Amino acid sequence: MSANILAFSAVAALAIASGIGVIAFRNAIYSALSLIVNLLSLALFYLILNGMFIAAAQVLIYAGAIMVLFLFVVTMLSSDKAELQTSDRISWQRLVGVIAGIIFAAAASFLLLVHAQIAPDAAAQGSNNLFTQISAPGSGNTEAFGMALFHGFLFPFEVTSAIIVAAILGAVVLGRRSRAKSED
Amino acid sequence: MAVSLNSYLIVSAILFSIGVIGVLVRRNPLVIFMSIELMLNAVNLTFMAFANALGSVDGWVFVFISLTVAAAEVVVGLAIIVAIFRTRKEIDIDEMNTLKG
Amino acid sequence: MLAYTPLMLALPLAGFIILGAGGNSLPKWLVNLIGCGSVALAFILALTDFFAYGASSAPYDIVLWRWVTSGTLEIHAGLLVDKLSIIMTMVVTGVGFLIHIYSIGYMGEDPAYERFFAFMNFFITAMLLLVLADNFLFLLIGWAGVGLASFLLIGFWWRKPSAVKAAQKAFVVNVIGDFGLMIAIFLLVGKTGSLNFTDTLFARAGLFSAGDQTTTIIAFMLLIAAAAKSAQLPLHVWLPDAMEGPTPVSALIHAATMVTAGVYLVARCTAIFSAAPYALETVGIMGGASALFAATAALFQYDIKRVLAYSTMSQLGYMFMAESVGANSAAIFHLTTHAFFKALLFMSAGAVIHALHGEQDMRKMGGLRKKLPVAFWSFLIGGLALAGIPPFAGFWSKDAILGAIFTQAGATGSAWEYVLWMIGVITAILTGLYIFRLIFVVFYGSYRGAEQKSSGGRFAIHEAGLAMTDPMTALLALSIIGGFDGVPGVDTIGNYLQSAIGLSPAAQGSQLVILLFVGVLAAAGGIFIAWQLYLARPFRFTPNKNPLYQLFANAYYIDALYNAVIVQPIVQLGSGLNTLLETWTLDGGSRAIAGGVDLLSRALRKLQSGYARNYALSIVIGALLIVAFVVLNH
Repeated sequence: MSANILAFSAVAALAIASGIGVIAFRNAIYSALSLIVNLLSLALFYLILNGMFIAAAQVLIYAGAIMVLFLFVVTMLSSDKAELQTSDRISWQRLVGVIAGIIFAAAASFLLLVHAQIAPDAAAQGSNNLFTQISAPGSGNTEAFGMALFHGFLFPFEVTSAIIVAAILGAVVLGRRSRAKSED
Repeated sequence: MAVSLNSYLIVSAILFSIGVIGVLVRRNPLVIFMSIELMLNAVNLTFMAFANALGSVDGWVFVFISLTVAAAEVVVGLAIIVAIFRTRKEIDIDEMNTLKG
Repeated sequence: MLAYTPLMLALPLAGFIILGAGGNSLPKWLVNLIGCGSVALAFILALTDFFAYGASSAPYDIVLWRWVTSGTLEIHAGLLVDKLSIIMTMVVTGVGFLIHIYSIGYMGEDPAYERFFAFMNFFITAMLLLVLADNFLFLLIGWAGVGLASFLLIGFWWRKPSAVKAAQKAFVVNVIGDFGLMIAIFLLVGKTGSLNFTDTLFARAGLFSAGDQTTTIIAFMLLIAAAAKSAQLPLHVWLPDAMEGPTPVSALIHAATMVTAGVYLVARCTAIFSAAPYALETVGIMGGASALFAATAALFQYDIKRVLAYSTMSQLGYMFMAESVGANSAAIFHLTTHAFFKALLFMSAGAVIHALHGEQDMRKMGGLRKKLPVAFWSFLIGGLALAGIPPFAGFWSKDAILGAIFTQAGATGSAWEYVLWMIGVITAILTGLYIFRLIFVVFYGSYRGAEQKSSGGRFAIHEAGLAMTDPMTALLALSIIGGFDGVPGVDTIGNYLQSAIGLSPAAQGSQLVILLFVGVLAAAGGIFIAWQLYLARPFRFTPNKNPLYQLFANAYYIDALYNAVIVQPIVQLGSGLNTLLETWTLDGGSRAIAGGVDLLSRALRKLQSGYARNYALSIVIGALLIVAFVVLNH
């Protein structure tokens, strides 16, 4: 068993365990913390997969920004015991949902393990036209990523900025107390 | 030897299914939201795995963009949850059931 | 001048459009001017046509435009002027004009005054189209148009349920006739490939040959059309009921003009009928039966207009009898004189009804001779003309018919034609009887109705205005002199029409004198019986249980018979189908479908629980189905 496999297995176990933690904890704070662990473990996956920049971005954006926001809201709404106070009106869905999820995972795993060997297409791999190539395997490849982002995908990248601006405006509008209400 | 592509995909599938179960089972909208993040990240993992297997950085670009979109989505989604909480003083998603036949 | 004939149609049509579209915003004098003026101009055009056509014998065909072109079949929208159509247009527009004038007085109080004139103008248009058409299809349009006008005018007082029913009855029966005419047209196209009169009726001899089956069927179909339009047995039932319409309508449509369309059709189609002896014989049977039937039915009616309606039917029967022996010109002669004196009788009846504020029951009249002198004299002259007393118009035309039948019977030796002549004579007796019964009961004796008080407290029965009495006077004059154009031996009208519809057989010499004597005797006999029964002793109405009386008074129960044999089964069938098809099958079926959908949606709406998580589950289930598909296909 190589080191690679060992590392993968450890990170995979961590990711799955923390993922289960997200949905299993009754307290929303614990769920949020589990999600942070899960996101960090994914960042580790990205490191293993040579994606240094993405790993860093994952840590910065998700762990640093998004999860902080989550924790703020969780604490602000003090909803940690919300589900304990009310009864589940569609409790049958608890069982059905779990079974459906397990079947989904099992079926996908079955396909991936037994039948569908998804191998990189040799022709596609050799083609320079179709993909932006990783320049030097093993290194960070951040330069290649930058080239891809600011050349081939410049327009989608710019559109993303517009989406973020729209989201900020939306959040401001939603978060603001309505004037009529404040005048009451 | 390197870890096969399929291993990553299996992990991704498992994480995605966990996210699905979370959405179906939990009633706290915040936790449901977290489950959705979980599903998003599971998909990101497949992108990264494929990018590595194909030797291309294009998958990274997708992941990067989905990261930013996820950030935007979280901002708006949380703002909505806060707004709902402010008007209804409760945080059970099953209370929001006026859209029924 | 003949080229201006289309104007004759266009003027009343324009009147109809103007009055129909904007009549209610026009002042009354303008409505009068348009309504009567258009018909007056049409009459002037008819007169100019008469003089312009002169003694010519070739039909003058005016093609307005090419209407239908289908293969070799070509139908024009065209008008045809010949002596028959000239006589018809003069009668239609002349009598029509007088009745329009009369309507100014009679309908003066009616709120829908302009609508009445619009319909009347429409009728004149349709009737002129009927008599002027140069092909069968165009004729059919006029034929259906006068039916429509009749329907509209019978039901003119549409708030009265009986008027609406009568209008419907007239329309339905007339449609039977339209149907017959249509079949005839189809067969005619099949046989000759053309519908133009020039190619069919006036074509070379031998196009319609005796013994040809198609020709016979065509003739019978035309006969059905004629019977329905002219209220002959067995399609007469609508005419007595049609008296629900305003009296000018009865005078114009149901006495003088429209009902004679059948007579015109048979005369126009002489070429076909003369090649179909069975059909021609049936014309005679129908005419004779109708004449006798209607005369007996008129004997004991108490509605003043119904008496005249049956009388009209009876006189139309005379015309068909004449046509069956080939005396077309005698029939047309009687048509014209009948138009004069019957319109006069209806107008006087209208004057009586008008004076009594809508009362039509003879039992509530009486002694009106002094109160209504113009109506009385009109009735008297009209009655004498109808009964056939010389020198009034009806005498000459009726005796032309009887003479023609007798002469023809003598020529062919047919026993049946002698029987027809006998029927004619008996009907002449009955005619004198019923019309003088009417006159004696209405105008003699003492007044039996409720006292009519005016605001001043005086007896309020008074003569109608000049608008009504003037046309009556004009027709009174025509009823006196209208017969002189057909005096035996001279027979101006018969000779005039000879080129169009052939010469009638006529009695000669001593036979003629005897026949004239018999005719006068029959009429005088009828009048004498009426005098004995209704004038010699004061009239008092007593219910009569005599079965023969009941049979006559109820017009042989034919209405009841049709009701039981035709109407009721159809109504039963309709209500049966209504229950079976409508209520059970269609309604039930659609209700079952609706119920099924309702049940299904009651079940399905449970899916729409309102829980967002439920909806998420359905997404997952969908995804699982796709996954299952992929797995199972591997």
